[in-house]
Amino acid sequence: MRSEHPPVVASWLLERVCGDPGLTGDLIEEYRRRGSAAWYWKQALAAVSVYPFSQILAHKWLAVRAIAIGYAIWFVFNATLLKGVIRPWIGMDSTFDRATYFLIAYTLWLANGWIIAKLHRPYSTAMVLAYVLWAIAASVQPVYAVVMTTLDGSTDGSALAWTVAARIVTLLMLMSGGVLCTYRDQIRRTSHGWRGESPRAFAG
Amino acid sequence: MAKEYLGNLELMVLLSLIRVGDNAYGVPISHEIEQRTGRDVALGSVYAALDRLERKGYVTSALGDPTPERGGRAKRYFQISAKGVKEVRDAQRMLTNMWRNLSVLQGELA
Repeated sequence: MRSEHPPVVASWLLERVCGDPGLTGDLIEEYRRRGSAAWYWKQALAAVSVYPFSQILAHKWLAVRAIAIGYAIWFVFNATLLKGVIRPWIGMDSTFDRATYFLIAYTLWLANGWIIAKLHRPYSTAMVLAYVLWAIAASVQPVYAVVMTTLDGSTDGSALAWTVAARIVTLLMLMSGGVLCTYRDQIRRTSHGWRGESPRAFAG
Repeated sequence: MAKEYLGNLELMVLLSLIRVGDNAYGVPISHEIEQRTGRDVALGSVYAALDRLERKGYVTSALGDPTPERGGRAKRYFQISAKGVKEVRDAQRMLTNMWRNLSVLQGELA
């Protein structure tokens, strides 16, 4: 049976990643004409994979600024606050201590993504993605080092699995922070009404 | 600053904008491209091109009112600017010059 409503998950992705009501509305309008969920998914995935990268390329200096700000926040949160203050204070003796430490650490990564998004409206998700891409590039060397020590037998496979998993969770927390910030902005915009202007009007 | 030239999709989007005229938004723009070129262009790519064109100052946009048939989302209307029209003319001149006297394209041997 043909549904009048487009796939919810695809629309959610579109709104969070692209953040342009015009694009989502156009796709909904076309979906109602064509009635194909497969077409809608294809269009949504194409938009989600093209739009943020296009925004990064179109706003290179903004992306550089996002990476610099993300790095500065990482330095304050992770290198100074987490390792210098929280870790010695909590201690890492019990499983509970370690769980608390990682909970705080990942919350700080979430906050990092949120702050980057907040400072780079209306290109929030794209700029968080720029920082995520930089973080992936920065992860290559440390992960490579663990792969090598695993291969020569200095460490076991669990160290490699832990390193990779920890970094994936970090990247997911960063993106989640960005997406949550975009979501909050969209709710506020919806309740206050859109200004009849380009998304550029929201910049700065 | 180095001059930024129009890409293939950007030129098609600008030409479609001129053809559609008033009330140009994503759907009629992509339909126009599809009908004229036979290419199935993703709406996301059209919006990405429009975003670049707006940044270059070739296009302006404004949001309309949200409508229920679009799930409460507004239409984003696009309009070509005077700078955009000039850029299209320049592209036409450049391409026409490139095309001129190409015997291969006229079915003759080079």
